[in-house]
Amino acid sequence: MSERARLLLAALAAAWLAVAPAWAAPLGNAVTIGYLQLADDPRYDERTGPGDTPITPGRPVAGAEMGVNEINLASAASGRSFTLAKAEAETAAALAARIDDLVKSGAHWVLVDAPDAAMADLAKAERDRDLLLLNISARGDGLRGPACQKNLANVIPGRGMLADALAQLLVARKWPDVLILQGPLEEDKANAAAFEHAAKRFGLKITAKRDFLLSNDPREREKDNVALLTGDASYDVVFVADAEGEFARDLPYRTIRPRPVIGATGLVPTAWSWSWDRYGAPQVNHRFEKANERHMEAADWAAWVAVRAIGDAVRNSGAKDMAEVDAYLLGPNLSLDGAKGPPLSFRAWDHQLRQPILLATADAVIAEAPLPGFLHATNVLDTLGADQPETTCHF
Amino acid sequence: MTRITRRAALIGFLLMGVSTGAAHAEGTGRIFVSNEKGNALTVLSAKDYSPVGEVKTGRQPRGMVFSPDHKRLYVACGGADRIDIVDVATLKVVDRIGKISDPETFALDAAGQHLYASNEEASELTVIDIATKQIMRHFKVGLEPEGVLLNHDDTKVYVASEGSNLVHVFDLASGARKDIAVGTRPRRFAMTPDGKELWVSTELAGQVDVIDTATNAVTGKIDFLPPGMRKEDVSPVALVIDGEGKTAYVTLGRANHVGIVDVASRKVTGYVLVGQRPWGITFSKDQKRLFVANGGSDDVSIIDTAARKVVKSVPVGHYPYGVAIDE
Repeated sequence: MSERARLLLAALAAAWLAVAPAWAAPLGNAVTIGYLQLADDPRYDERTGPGDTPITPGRPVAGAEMGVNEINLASAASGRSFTLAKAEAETAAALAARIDDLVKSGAHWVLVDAPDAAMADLAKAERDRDLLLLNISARGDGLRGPACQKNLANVIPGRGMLADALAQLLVARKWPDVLILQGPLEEDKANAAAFEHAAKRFGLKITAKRDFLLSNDPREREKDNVALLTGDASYDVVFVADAEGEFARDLPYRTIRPRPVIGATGLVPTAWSWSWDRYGAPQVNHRFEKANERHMEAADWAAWVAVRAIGDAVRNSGAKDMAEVDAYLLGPNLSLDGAKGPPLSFRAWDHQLRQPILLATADAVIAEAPLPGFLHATNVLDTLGADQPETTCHF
Repeated sequence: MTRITRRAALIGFLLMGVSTGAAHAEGTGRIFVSNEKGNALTVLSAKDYSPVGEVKTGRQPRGMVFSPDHKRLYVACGGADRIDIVDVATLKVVDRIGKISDPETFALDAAGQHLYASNEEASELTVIDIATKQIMRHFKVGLEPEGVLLNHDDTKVYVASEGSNLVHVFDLASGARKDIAVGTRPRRFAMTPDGKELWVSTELAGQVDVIDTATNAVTGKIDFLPPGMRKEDVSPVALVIDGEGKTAYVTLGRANHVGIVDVASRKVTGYVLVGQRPWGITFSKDQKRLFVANGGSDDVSIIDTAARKVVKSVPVGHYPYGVAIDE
């Protein structure tokens, strides 16, 4: 597409957003924010940790609830109040029906906690509706690419952004050679692919890429023996793609060469960390921990910041209807405080929230991406993830 | 410094302490810099800005205010949950007000009796009676309160809640609260000498909002963009307005500049390049100099206000936060 055609399209898109359609729902004093989660979501299954300790990841609805409390506090004087209408679908197929329920109860914005495929199917089903879905946990780049859509906002960073953040750190540290270990899950393959893309983008070298299996089978020793997996190759760092985390957990310190492990363990790129201590983050973490007796995770942060974005847009847009609020929310004037430093806003070309990525170990944030020295023509945050010229999203 | 000159300086410094003891209204002219991560105040000489002493404080010293007679300096030590009281003559912490939740900045009434401190974690403003060291009043505020300002006749107190994007104004007689919606991450205040305008920095919006104190309405927003900088690098923090109400000076955080604003027209008229992450800013009494604490480069930039230039940079402690001058 020529630059002129692109600009024209962008202008048309802006006009579509700016002009409130005749059917736009008015904005009242009582505002309902919808929240939808998938009950059967394997990402929240109880796992067995070291010493058979059960690990049950918390649901990000806790972040949304904290956000609603906070925006109510901030708008008390305006006479406006926000409520969170929560719904749960037993299966991915039932998500759309629950959206209908939420819309009936007055929700125009719906935060969705569902994995990639379910999120993509739901978004597709709701494509032409007058509502805005806010994706708080699905990291698939398709949702920011070919499967993107006008009424979908991605608050959680996509895989590409996370991988780019790691790649920037490796460039900054001058650790260019990477061994990739990839697990058997689709998500593992997607994570490895995102990292390979980032490596190419930032000039790193993949010296070897090997599949691993969590197994004790001697016939599979090329895949399940860490010494064999990490031997006979030259690398500065091992990138492990392991969504389950069971293989990655004890990979550090078992590699043949004394090299750091990154990706699924060791140094992990994330939207948020409990150990992040700058830009007001300790206060955010303390508030969350006090209310929930657990640490704030990336999806909790995304749910919190999604609600805060709605609160800011309702308050600062001076809008009379939902379409005007959405235009502000997704437009260039949003200046959202995500406790990560710079003000946050959504990218016009794929509705991804532009944001710094934290590179964290189990108990410290080692760096914040973009790393110093990674420059961009308009906003350094756009060095992470698909930039406008390379986007595959067309609304 | 050699041993002999150091001793001479020490003797001179002790003599200065004694000789000015009786004339504190005049002040020593010394410049006190709070070093947030150095757990100490650096004290600079009035004459040549050389270091003349150090005051060990509780953890994380940030906001500082002198008592009206300048005999004491109150220092908020957020990490120690207390306010240290420094004897200005001896440069020692002589007393403290404890059990104050995470104090950062505060205001002192004209009589020097009551401290108004924001408590970041507790989302409160507390009023502390200095004589009894007791908390007299609590005011509920928004999330992460920071800047505190008393109006000129101590009838109203303003608090900026960073996490709620609100400025609260409390009528001290009735306790009534009003909320003013401002830009993202409001930080600090300055009031015009006539009391008609309250200026508040909004760090993430990269602006200063102007509030009409009669109507509590935001009547203007001032943008900053120093040469070669981007909007998202501009994070305004502290600000001062001169005694004539003509010119305001705003530290711009990540943008490493101080912005100069014509108060009447609200137009930015210039920028001064300072150190890294300029934070606190304080006028000398004659308004010929401005002292800027650069948190990111561990130094203080001294600006000649007429020339609009930095005339000297002085190394201080780790993470300088604010400046208070004994004059």
